[in-house]
Parts: sequence; C-alpha cells; structure tokens
Amino acid sequence: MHESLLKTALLQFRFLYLSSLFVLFMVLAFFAYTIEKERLIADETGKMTLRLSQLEDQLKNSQMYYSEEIIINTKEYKISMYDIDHAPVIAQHSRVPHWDKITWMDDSTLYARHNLSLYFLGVASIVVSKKIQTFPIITRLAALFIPLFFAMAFVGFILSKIAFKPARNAFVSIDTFIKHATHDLNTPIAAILSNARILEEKITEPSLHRFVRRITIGAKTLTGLYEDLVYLNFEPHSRIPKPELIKELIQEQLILLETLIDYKKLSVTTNLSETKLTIFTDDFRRLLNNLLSNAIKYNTPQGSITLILTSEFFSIKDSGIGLSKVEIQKIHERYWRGESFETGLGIGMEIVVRVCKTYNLTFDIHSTKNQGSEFIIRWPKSLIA
Amino acid sequence: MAKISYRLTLGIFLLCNITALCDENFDRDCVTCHSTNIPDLETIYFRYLQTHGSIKRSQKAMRHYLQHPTIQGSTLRPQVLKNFGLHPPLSPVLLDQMLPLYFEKYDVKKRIKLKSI
Repeated sequence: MHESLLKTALLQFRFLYLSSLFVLFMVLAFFAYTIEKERLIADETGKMTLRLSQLEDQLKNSQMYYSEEIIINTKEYKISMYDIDHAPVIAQHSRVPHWDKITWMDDSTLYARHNLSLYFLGVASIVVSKKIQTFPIITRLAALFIPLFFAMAFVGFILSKIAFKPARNAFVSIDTFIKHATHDLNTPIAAILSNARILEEKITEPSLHRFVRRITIGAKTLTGLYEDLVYLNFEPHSRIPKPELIKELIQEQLILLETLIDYKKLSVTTNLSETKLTIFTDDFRRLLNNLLSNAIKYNTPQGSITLILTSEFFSIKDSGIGLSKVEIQKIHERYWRGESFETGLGIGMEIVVRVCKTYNLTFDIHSTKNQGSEFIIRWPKSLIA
Repeated sequence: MAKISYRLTLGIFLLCNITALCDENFDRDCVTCHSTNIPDLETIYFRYLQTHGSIKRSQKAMRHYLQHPTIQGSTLRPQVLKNFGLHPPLSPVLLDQMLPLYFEKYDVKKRIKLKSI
C-alpha cells in the first residue's frame, strides 16, 4: 500500500518538476527569441540605413551627371521612392508607408524610411523593406533548449530518485511493521475470544456475565480491525470474482456482529432479495462489515437498523447520531478524492470507498443530524450474475 | 461601321498632327533658345524638382514664374540671372501647351529603372 503511495508521490513530484521545467524553458525561450529578434531587426535596420544612403548618393550622382538611365538594384530590398506630396515616383510597395515612423514592422516585414535633405530627381523620401526570417532563430533556440531540457529532466529524474530514497526506506519499514503487527494480532485476539467463551460458560454468577460480554465485544471489534488491516496490507493469493448471493454475506455479517447488536439492544429489520453479484467475496465482506459496524457503533441504544437489498442497490439505514452536511462533505473529500491516508480517520470508510471504486459502485449518503443515516450502494448491471 | 472607322481614322490623324505640331512649336519656341546661350532645359527641370520636391509643385511654380517673372520667383542663382536676365512673360495658353511637353520630355519616372541584379 505504502509502496504504491510512494510511487504516486514520486510520479507527482516528477510531473510537477517537468511541468515547471517546461514552463521555465518556454519563458526563457520566449525571452531569448524576443532578444534575438530585436538583435536581428537592429542589424537589418543598420544595413537598410546604409542602403538608403547609397540610394540617395545614386540619385544625387545621376542628377549631377544627367544620367539617361538610373539602374536601382532591388535584389535584396524592395524599394519605393516618393515625392514631397507622398506621391510615388517609383513604387514596389503596395502599402502606404507610415509617414510618422522611420522604421516599422508590418506582417514580419521590416521597413525603413529616409527623408532626403535635397529632393534629387524630385524624390523626397525613400522606403526600403525586407522580410525578416525568424525561422533560423527558432531553429537555433530549439537546438539549444530541447537538449538542455532533456538533460535537466534527466538530472531531475536522478535527483528525485536519490531524494526519495530515505522516504522510501521509511515507508518500507512502516509497511513491514504494520504487516508484522497485523500478523501478530491474530493469536492474542483468538486467545481472548476463546477464553471469553470458556469464561462465559464457567461463570455462574449472572452479574459477572456483563463483564465477560464486554471482553467479547472488545475482542470482536479488534477482530474487525484485524480483518480490515489484513485486507488493506496483504494481497490475496488469487482474485477471481465469482457469483455470490449477497443476502448470505449480509446474514453472515449479522451473525458475526450479533453480540454488538444485542449489547446495544438494537432492532434489525431486513428485506433482502436473492441478488447475485459477480464479485470477489472478501471485498464485499469487508464492505458490509464496515457499513454494519458503523450503523451499530453510531446508533443510539435500543435504536434500529434497516437493511434492504434489491437487484439494484443495498441500503443500510440506522437511527443513530446522523451526519451533518459538512461531515458528509468531509467523507467525500477525505475518502473519495483520495486524501484518505491521514492518520486518525479510521480505515473502515477507506475500505468502503476502495471497494466502491474497484467495482464502479455509487455510494450515496442521506443523513439528518440526530435522526440517523442511510447509506446506499448501487451497482452497475454488468455486475449482476 | 464604315462611318465609325472613318471618324476614328480621322481622329487619330488629327491627334498625331496636333502632337507633331506641338512638338514642333516646343522645339521652335523653347529648345532653340535654351540650347544656345541660356541654361539648358534639363538643368532647369532638375533644379525645379530639387527645389520644389514634386513634379506637380514644380509645374505650378514654373507656370507662376513664366507668367510673372521676378528675381525672387526664379530658381536660378543671382549670378546666372545677372548674365541672362529674367525670362520674358509667357501667355497661359502657350504654357498650357508647352509645360506638359516639357515635363514629359525629361520625366524622371522614365529614367529610374528597378532591376534585380
């Protein structure tokens, strides 16, 4: 049990570590990408400024020497020239430039504009543009960050294994102790029960019978606890489900808990159908035992217990102390949501929920404080034998 | 159909003749004089463009100067003006004919060629 808990904790830790690492790397990669892109834009802006100066010189020279033809190379940049009224002299750009900006980005294209101090050939401003290729940046960053991520993930994997080793050892020790203790409980409980039975037969004084019965009840409670511990800590040799008459299992539990029922002077009403479910007997035995034990334990003296078994559900109703809405909510939170391994909460409900989860049973609680509770277990049709 | 063809041919013929006539007038009225002793037309064209920054503005400024020539309105340097004097005033009708021809003749848009080398 503890081994699986530890594995879950380790898996959760690794998942959290990897998620945090991934988020951290994504943030770092984003910042690196932004910085690299800014650098690329700055480089390109410098080159564009140089090209704009060259174009101005070309216009100036062609005007000075009355060139018949001016050839402007557009291999690297798209070029447009505008007069003072922003009308195009020559234009390769379909979009109107941002006249209030010197450089700007539009659809991953970088634009740079230069205003001429003298309007050579009637050109007042020149605009050059180039598409900025960010894919090489992404490739470069991926080549850096992906191996780094895997390296860090591997280091985390190793470190978590080292870090969890003491905890694992402690868990194994506790687990071993519980198993040994559980195993050793059997003999003294059996001794107490058999001796109590002998005492009950031998004692003639009626007033002493009360004390012997108390010993028997205590020992039987311990037996229930012992069986719960065995159920939780020791895997059964084989788990082959077989059709079981649930009615028989309920009656068996009523006989087992008879002493406790008699002691509290409880009246038990049953309405049990001949329902057969394909189950592993021990699972349902523990489920019924715990539900019945609770109905007895939390009942009022001379109270009542009603057991109903149909082909669809099993209901156990008591006239006990009942549960408030908050307490019902707590049962769901602690047991149903898997936070059930806190100490001091009892293992009865833990077993009930575990069996329900194993067989896809639904578990409903209807309860009113100081009036009693009703626990209803419903099963899927596939379980009916 | 024949009538339309005749009118179209006549129209094209007249247009060509008028254009030829205008070109002839431009050569006679402008080029003859500007090619000899006063600043040539190309220099003036570029000077106007450089000063005014667009063909539209240059045309407007040139029209104004040629209608009402003054020293302040001229784009030429004072020394050049001193040597050649102010341009004689021209009629709006003549300017309407000559200015478009002049600006067409030295059009910068025809000179600038974009090539991917």
